[in-house]
Amino acid sequence: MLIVLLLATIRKAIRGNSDDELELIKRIKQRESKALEELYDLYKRLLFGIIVSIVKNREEAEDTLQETFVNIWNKADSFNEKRGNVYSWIVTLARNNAIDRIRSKEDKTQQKQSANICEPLFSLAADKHDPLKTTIFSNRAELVNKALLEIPQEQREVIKIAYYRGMTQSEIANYLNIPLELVKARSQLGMMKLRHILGEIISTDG
Amino acid sequence: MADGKSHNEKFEELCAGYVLHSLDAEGCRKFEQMLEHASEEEQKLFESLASAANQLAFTVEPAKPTDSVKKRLIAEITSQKEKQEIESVSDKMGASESGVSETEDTEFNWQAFAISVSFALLIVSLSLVFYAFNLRSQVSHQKTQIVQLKNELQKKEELLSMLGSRDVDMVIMSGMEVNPNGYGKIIWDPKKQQALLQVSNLPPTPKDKNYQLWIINDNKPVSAGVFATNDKGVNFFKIDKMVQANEQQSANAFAITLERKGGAQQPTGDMYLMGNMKSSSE
Repeated sequence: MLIVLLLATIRKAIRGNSDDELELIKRIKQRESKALEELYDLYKRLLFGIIVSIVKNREEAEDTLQETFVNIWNKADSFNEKRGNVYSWIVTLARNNAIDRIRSKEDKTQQKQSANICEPLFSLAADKHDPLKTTIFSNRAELVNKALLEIPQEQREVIKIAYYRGMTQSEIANYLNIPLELVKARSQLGMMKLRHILGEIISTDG
Repeated sequence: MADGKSHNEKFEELCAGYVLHSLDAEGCRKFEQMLEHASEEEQKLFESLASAANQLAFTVEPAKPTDSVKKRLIAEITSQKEKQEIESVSDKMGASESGVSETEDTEFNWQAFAISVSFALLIVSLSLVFYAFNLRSQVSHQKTQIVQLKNELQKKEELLSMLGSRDVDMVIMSGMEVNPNGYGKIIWDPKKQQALLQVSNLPPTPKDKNYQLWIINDNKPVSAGVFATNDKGVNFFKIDKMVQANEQQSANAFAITLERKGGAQQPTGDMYLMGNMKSSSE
């Protein structure tokens, strides 16, 4: 069952909106809580991984995950399939919630102390008994990691800090002890290159 | 642009920061303003950059949250649904109630208010009138009672005064054949020429008749006045000026007869009471 759900998630991430996924959102808009449960089962592992990588605390990550699905429930009406796929919308909501949470804490000191640039190693220790799932995720992760490696190191560094740690550009400038304008430039150049490298995936991703 | 960057360069720069969620509040606001007026090409750039950023999620290790998260989520959603349903029902009820109250508030019926006040004032006025009338009647009745009591008191005082006088004579009268149970007394003050007559058990006086008191002296009756008794049968009468005072001093008997209304020159009717001066003094 898990494999099927995971495959569905990846397929949707790659191919864009599927009828099933859109149907779930439609049912959520109609206040069908069962549809939200189904969506949760589909995305919980992926989103929880993203959130944990940002908030660095499982308990808070679980609260954030719950908050994210409550947002999905309450903001379902604002989802417009013409402007993006369900996957992108949900991932963005989860990241925004996680980043808002760490920023609201304003615990900058703690961030600096533990801020080895966290390049998330794609170790699927928890899923080692699911070889197929591991392979699929590995392939996708490998593709994105490969794309990242093609980006100059200083640009990659800024993107990773921003994405995985949720720092603002000003915080990154302070953290790396470089001018803000340089952070902005590296961020811009890095993302434009990543977009270019992942072009094929992005064009099918919607 | 003030920093020497073209619009496109600025859009790209802000867009990259925006999709990574690394702009500060001011940067976010600026980019969202630009996005509102973005060209189709800029829109596509934004969407593709956002999509590229989202691909980074696949490099993160998936992790399994505890089952309690789902339970809490379902509990919260259920709670929200129930709350919304309650609010929806109360809104509907509130709307219908407010519809009524708004009408009442905005269209205050002054005419109805005036009629209500007038009616209330009328009721109060009528109540006051009734109360005043009742009070007046009560006062009038009490005044009559006071007058009656005063008269009675005066009579009693006169009786006591006459009884306290040194030189009074008393004649006891007994019932005659037509009314054997009747009796009476005459207390007579010869000096003041005043007398008190008390009669008991005399039949009530017919409307066209009067009892008449006679002073008999040497078998010659002289009228001392007329009176009428009431249903109670006990009556006091004061005679302020006894007629023929000189003769009365030598009167030797008193009698009471029933005569025509206003009295007669000579006794003609039945005799009801009679008392002898000599016998009473004996």
